[in-house]
Amino acid sequence: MFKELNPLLHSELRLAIMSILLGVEEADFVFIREQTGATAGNLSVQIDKLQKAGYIEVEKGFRGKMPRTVCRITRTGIDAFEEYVEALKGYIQPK
Amino acid sequence: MEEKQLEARESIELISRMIQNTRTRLERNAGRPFLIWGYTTVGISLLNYGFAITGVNSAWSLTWFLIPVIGCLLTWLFHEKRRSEPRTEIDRIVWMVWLPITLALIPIFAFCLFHGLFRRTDLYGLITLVMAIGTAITGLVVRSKIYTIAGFAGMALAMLFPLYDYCLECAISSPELAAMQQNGGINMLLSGEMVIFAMIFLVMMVIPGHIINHQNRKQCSKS
Repeated sequence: MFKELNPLLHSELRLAIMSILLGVEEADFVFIREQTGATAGNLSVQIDKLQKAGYIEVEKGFRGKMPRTVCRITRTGIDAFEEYVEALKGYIQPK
Repeated sequence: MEEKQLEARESIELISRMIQNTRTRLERNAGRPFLIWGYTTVGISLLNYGFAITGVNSAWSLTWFLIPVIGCLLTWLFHEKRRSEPRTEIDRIVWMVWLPITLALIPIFAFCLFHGLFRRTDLYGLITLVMAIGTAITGLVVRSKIYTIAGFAGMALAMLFPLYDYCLECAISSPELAAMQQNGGINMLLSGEMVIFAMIFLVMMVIPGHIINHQNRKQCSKS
């Protein structure tokens, strides 16, 4: 029996965001946009969804005169990601 | 990249690709701090060697203190250019390693200011050892063989200072050296330590920095 995959993570862009944040302490919005190649609008929407689920924290501020948005993964996000990868294994591993 | 549903295999591939791309990008200029501090130290050492052998006013030796000034300035300038790049856990650990090492250099530099003329050998050796320890720990933390070897090589090469000093002391009684002492040639021999210092930093920081940057750029162009 296959475990159900978390629908919030089972989307290309949201999964990419979570994968990037998993390897760093925090990442700038610009960096995530460059790494994913997504448009700023689409990225904002997906980041918002992840934030509402409590998977990531978003901090808006300024660096000098430039606005800056910083994202970091939360403990809940890490747990959800681990569960998602565990569930994925079930789909891939031969029975 | 869009909000599309993925196959299980595609998900795994995406996760691996994102983690690998982020890692590769963050490692692209990993050798830069070593190049900044390495080149600054080599440059200032050779500059001071030039001052010493040309016999200019000893006040020019205060230019040694340009090393932290130039090093910090260049580090800040390059950091500003990359400020959108994230920090990793490894970056934080490496920062924690270099913080006490940098702080340890402050009393050593103060000692250089007051006793530099009489304790040359000890001070060159001490600075080399402190920097070599930092390089070796960095290598062990980031699991880089190049930095680890460079750090341990730096520690071993620090032995050159007491060895050189010993050779000078043995030679000081020789009549040839006495003649050199009369025509100022002894300055050139004493200043040889600055060349050793520069060469050690070349081996310990500049060459490994270039190797690491070259390797990472090659990795970046592959991915």
